[in-house]
Amino acid sequence: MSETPTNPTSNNEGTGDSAPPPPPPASPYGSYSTPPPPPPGQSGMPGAAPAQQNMKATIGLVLGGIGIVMALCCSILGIFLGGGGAALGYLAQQDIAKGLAPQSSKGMAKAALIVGIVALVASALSLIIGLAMGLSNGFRTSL
Amino acid sequence: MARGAVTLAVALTAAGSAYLYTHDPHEPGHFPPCVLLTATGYYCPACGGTRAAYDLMHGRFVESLHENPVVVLGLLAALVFGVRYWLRRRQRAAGKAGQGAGRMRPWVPIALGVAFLAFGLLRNLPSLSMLRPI
Repeated sequence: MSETPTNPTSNNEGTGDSAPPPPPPASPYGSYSTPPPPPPGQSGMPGAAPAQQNMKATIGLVLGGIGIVMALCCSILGIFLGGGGAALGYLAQQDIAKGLAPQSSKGMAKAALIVGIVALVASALSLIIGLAMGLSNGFRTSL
Repeated sequence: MARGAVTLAVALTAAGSAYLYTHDPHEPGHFPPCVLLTATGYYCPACGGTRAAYDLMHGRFVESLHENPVVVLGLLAALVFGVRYWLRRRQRAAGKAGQGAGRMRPWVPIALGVAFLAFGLLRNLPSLSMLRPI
């Protein structure tokens, strides 16, 4: 995908010999040996399995992000969300290490793990503060 | 490792649900207070969620919607997504692949998360105070 420069108009003047020769523009005669590759994703088998693994990192990151917000109020919910987000990030990293998920989701998996742990720790701290304030003395201020 | 984490999560959820079922959060003293509401008076997106879950467990659907509609709808959506995911796993394990069909798009969880946080902003507006818990 990334190494098919098809810009025959501008790039060839100033760069001298370092510019790669432009590929032949897909001559309609005699080039039956190289069919064009199928579009990535969308159709066929190879794009299908990694998308599922990518979802683990995505959902983990969303859960962790909400968990950080929840640490301020519903600390118990924040612990669940942070733990779930961190676990999903960890599982996504395992899948990437096994080659079940694309390397491109590596950063998102790591982010999900870190954000989830941050949410978990922040929620635990908030829960301790809440308990130190005493159990709720009126339902309007309970969870 | 993964199986142990799932078991732990299920056990914690079951224990928490049992505690919630038997301890009414409408009465004070059973649950820790909300730090945000106590300190600032602002409602977070999940405020009233515990009471909504309690009401839902005891069959008071309308009351639970008044406490926190998004948490109620989110619990129902989580149930639907969970059953769907489990069914798809079973189908894949049985070899009836259906690889691409019915797969969740990546923007779905992101949009749900953003909508949840936006609900927290909306319910703090004075004109939308009906979104606040009872």
